[in-house]
Amino acid sequence: MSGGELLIRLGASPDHLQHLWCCGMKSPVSSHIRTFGDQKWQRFALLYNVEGEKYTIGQRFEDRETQGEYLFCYCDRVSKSSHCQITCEGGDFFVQNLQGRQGQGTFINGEQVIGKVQLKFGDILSLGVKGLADPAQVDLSKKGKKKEDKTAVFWFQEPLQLESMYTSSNSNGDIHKDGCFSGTLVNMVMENNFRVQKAKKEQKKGQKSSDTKKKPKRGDGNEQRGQICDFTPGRNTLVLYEILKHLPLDDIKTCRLVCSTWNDEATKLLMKRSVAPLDLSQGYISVASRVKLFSYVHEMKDVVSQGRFCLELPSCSDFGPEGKGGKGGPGDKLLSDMTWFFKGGFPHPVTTLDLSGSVRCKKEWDMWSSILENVGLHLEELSIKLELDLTTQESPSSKPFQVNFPVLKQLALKPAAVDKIFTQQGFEFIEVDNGLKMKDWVVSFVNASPKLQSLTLDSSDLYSAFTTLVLEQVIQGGFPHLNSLKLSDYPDSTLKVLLKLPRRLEKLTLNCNGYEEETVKDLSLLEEVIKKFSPSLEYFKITLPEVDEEREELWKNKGVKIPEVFPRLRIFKVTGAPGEVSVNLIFSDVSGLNYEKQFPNLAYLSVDPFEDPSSTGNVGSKAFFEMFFPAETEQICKSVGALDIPYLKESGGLCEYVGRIATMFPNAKNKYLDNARIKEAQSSGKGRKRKVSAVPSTRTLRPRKRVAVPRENDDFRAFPCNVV
Amino acid sequence: MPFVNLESSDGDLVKVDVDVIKCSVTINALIEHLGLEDDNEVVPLQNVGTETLHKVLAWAKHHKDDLPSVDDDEDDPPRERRTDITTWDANFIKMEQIQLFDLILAANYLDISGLLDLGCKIVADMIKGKTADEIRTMFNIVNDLTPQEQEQIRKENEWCEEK
Repeated sequence: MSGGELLIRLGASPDHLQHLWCCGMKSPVSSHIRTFGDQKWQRFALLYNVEGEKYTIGQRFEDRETQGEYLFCYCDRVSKSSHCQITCEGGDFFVQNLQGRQGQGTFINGEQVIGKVQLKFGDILSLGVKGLADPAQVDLSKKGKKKEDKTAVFWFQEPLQLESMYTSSNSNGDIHKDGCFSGTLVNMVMENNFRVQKAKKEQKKGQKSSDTKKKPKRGDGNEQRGQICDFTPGRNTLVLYEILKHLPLDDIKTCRLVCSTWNDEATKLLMKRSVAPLDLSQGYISVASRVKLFSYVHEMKDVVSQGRFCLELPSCSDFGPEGKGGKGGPGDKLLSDMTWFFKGGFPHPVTTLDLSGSVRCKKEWDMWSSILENVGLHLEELSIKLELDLTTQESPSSKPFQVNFPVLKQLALKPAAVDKIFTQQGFEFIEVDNGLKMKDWVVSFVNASPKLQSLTLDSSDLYSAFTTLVLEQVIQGGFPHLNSLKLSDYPDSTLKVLLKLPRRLEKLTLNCNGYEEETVKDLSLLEEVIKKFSPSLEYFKITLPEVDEEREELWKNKGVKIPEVFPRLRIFKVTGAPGEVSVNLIFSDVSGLNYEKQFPNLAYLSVDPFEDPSSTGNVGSKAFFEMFFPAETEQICKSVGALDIPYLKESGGLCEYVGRIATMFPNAKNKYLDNARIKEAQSSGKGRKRKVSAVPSTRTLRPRKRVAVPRENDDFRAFPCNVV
Repeated sequence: MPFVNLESSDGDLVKVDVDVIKCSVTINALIEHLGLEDDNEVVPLQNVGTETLHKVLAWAKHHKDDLPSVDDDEDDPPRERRTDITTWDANFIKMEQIQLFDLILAANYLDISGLLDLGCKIVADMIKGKTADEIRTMFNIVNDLTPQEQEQIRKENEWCEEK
C-alpha cells in the first residue's frame, strides 16, 4: 500500500462552507469535491505510507514526537484532545482509539475500534458516531431532524493523484490549474474504484486493488525498458542539457517524461532553476497546506540536493478556525513544523528562500524567528516580503532575530505596512525611523551577513524611511562587500544617504515606482549620485521620474547632467516616463550623447521611451528617444552588441528610427536591425561604403577594451567592424 | 593571414583562415599551445564530417566579426531570453534534422558557443509546447520509464515552480 487518502463527508446541507469550517478546513475548493451517490466528499488529508509514521486526529496538538502528523478536526463529537491515531506498520494502516472510556469512540464501517484495527481502502472511519459500510448511504442524520449533521465521517481511499493527472494532460481544457477536475471524470473513477473494492471485499480476498485501477494515461510505455534513446544529441547528455536550457520551465517538466536520459538532464536543470512553492498562507485550515511540509520531504528528499523554497506564511487569523488558535491549536503545530523542517526534517542545506507573510502578533514573530534562525547557515539568497503593523505602538517581540547568514550573497527586503490605506493617509503613523524595534530588526540582518554582495530595498509602502535606515547601517560599516544595489525609488532623502555610501558599486538600479510626493525633487542630487558611482559602475539601470505639475515648474529648463565618462559601464538600461514633458538627460558633450567617449565599453543598451515616440502627441517620449538616437548624427557605436528597444521590437522595426539605429550600431544584431540593413543595402546599391568619418581620432590612441581578454600574440586578429 | 588545415573525419583537408576559426575554443587552444609552424599544419577532426565542417565554417565566416554576447541581466523578470534569431542564421539553419544534430555535435566538439546556442535553440523550438509522446515520436525515442516512474516524475514536477 503506497499511501491513502482520507476523504471527509460534507454535510447534507448545501452550506458546505459552514461544515468545513467546523471540520477545521477553510472554504472548499469546488473541484476537490467528489460526489458519490447522494453524498459529497472532499479530500481531508493524504496519508503517506512511511514505516512507523503516525497521524493523529483531534483538536489539541502537543508534539510531533508522540503525535506525528497532527490532523485537526473540529467536527461535533470529536474529542477536544486527541481522538484517534492512524499508524503505518508493515506497509499497512492501523487505527487506534485514543480516548478514555468516557469517549465517544471510533468506528470502522460501523464497528467500534477496540485495540488496533487495520484500515483498508474503501473503509468508512467515523469519529464519535457509528457510521455505515456503504459510502452511498452514510447519511447519519435522523429522519426529520433539522439540525445539520456536523460529525466526522471519513472514507479511506486509494489516492486519486489528481495533480499528476493534471500534469499528464495539461493541454486538456477541463482540467484546472489547481490540479482538480470538473466533476464527471473524478466521479467516474471514484465509482469504478468503489466497485472494484466492493467486488474484492465480496470475494474476501482482501487484496489490494492497485493493479486494477484504471487511469486515463497516455503513453504507458512499459515496453522495452533499457533501450537506448535513438536521438543523436540524446546520446550526448551534455548537448541535451544545452538544448533543454533554452526551454521554459513547463517544457522542461514535460521533457522529464520522455525517457530516462532526458529525465536525468531535465531534472538537473529543473532543480537548478525552480523553487518549491510552499504556500501555507491559508494556514492549517486548508487541506492543501495541512501536511505540505511533510509531503514535500517525502516526495522530494531524494530528488533535490539543496533547498530552494518560496514560503508563504499565514497570518495569525488564518492559523485555525476562530477561537481555535490558542494553545495546542494549528498555530502551535505550524510553528513546530517549521522548526522541524528547517532543523533537519528537510535533510539538505537550504540555499534559497523567498519568505513572505506578516508580523502582527507574537506567534507570527516567533514563527519568523524560528525560520530565520534555523535556516541561515547555507543560505545564499534571501528575499523577505514582510507585512509589518507599524500603526501600533507595541512591537510584537522584545528581542530582534538572532540570525546568522555566513554565506548570504543576495538579500532583498520588502517591508510593507499591513494597513496600506490607513498609513497612506497619515505619514506620522509610520514609526520606522523612530521605532527602535525596526532598527534592531535591520541591524540584526546587517550584522548577520558579512559576505553580502547584492542588496535590494523595496520600501514603496513605507516611504523611504526604511531604505534610509538600512543604508545608514551600511555607511556605519555594514555589508563590507556590497557591490550591487537596487532601489525601488529614489527620493531626495535616499539620494542624500547614497552620497555618503562608502562602497564602490558595480551595479546600480534606480527604479521609480513609489508615491509621487516621494520621488526626487532636487535633480542636482541625482546628478551627484550618478557622478559618484560612475567610475565603478558596470551596470546601471534608471527609470526617470514622472513630471507632475509641481515639478514641471521646478525642473523647467533643467535636466540631469550625465558624467563625462562611464569608463566601465557595460550595461545601460534607461526608461523614460509618460507625459508631455520628460526629464532630460544632459550629456556633457556639446553635441549631445557621444557613445565612444562617454560609454567606451558599453555592450548592452536598453532604451525604453515608455510611449511611442513616433506618435505626434508624445512630445516627451520623442525628445527622450532623440537623445539616444539623434537624427543628425554621424557617430557609430561599435561596442554595443545587444540593443534592446521594446518599442521597436513590438512594432517589428517599422518606424522612421530603425534605419538610423541600424547604422549607428553596426554590431547590434537582431531581426529588425538586420532587415533594415538589408533594405538599406538594396536601396542604396551594392557595396556602398559606410561613412565613418565621425569616429574621433582619439580612438586610435586608446587601446580598445574588449570583453574577451586580448592575448599578447593576437595582433594578427583584425578587430571587427572596420570599414567594409 | 595565417591559415590552418582541418582534416574532416572523411579525410578531406580544408584550408581555413585562422581568424575565421578562432571562434572555436578547441582549435584556438590548440593553435595557442602548439603554435603554427607553417601553413601546412593539419588538425585532424575525427568527429566532424566534411559536409558538417563546411557548414561550421560558413557560419564562422559570417560571424567572425561578432562581438562577444552579453548576458542578459538576471534581475529583470524572467522573460523569454533573447531568442531573436537573425534572418541569416534562420536561413543558414534550415536543414534536415540529422544534419542539424551533426552540426550541434560539431559545435559542441569544437566548442563554438554561438553556433551551439543557435542549433540548440532551434531544437528547443521544436520541442516547445509538445507532449512527451510527440517528442518521442519526433526524435524516435523509446520510452524506458515505467508507469510508476512517470507517476513519480509528475508528482515531483508539482513541487517545481518558476522563481
